[in-house]
Amino acid sequence: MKKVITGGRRRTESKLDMAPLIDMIFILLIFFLVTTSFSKESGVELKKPKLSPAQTESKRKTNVTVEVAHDNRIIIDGRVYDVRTVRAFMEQFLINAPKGTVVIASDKDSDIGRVIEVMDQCKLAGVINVSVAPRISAQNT
Amino acid sequence: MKRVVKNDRRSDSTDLDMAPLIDMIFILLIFFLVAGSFVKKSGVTVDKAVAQTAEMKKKTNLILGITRDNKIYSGGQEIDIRDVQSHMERFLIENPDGYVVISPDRSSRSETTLKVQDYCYAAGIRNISISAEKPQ
Repeated sequence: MKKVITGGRRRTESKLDMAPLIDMIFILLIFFLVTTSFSKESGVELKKPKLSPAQTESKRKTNVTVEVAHDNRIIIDGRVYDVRTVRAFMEQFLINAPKGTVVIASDKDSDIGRVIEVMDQCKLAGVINVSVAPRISAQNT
Repeated sequence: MKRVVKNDRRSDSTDLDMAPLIDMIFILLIFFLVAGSFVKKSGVTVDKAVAQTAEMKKKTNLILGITRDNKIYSGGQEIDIRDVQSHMERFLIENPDGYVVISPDRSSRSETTLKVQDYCYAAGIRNISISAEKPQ
């Protein structure tokens, strides 16, 4: 980097000018400091129900449809449930059908927050296969 | 700090040794290069849904925000629902196997989110998740 030869002889000082290099690295550093973001997003995945025509209505009832109505009511089998009771219902359901699947049929006017809440409750209860589908509007509540 | 005293006189050449500084800056630079990621934010603030089963996503390339009044935003610009698919196809050319996070407001209509998700799938994006925060 720097050679200092003391004495009366010819000194071969091959000094590299580091200033532009440092400037450039600084600029790069500041660029990356400003542009990068470390915010990690957290999220859930909304799965679509898979159509499997082979096993329709076979054996016992192994799936349950949770409807989320336009006014955010939660309807399972025609009965209105509260968000807090969905989990208990699902735990009960899993006893009868351990590998049961849940389809959340959300009305197009329902809040996505409610749909996610219902899905969360189902997952907390231990349902592995939870999917979300838009509710067919032909059937009315 | 390195002082070079030449001959008999005392020359005041207080030369700063730059090497450690440069080393440090290089290390910082490489750290930011590796650790940072470029995320295209939605540009809108939304009231996220709460889910206890939400999990941290390692990578995110694009965030689509859906506001309370069902408008879709990406990078601070509003996108019409009909343009989502073409927008996503363009995004996929830039980042093949890009990760997309849809960040809907909790009181936005579920139809919008499901449609946006559908369009993303239709465009060929395989890694889509819906943003939700874990309650404290």
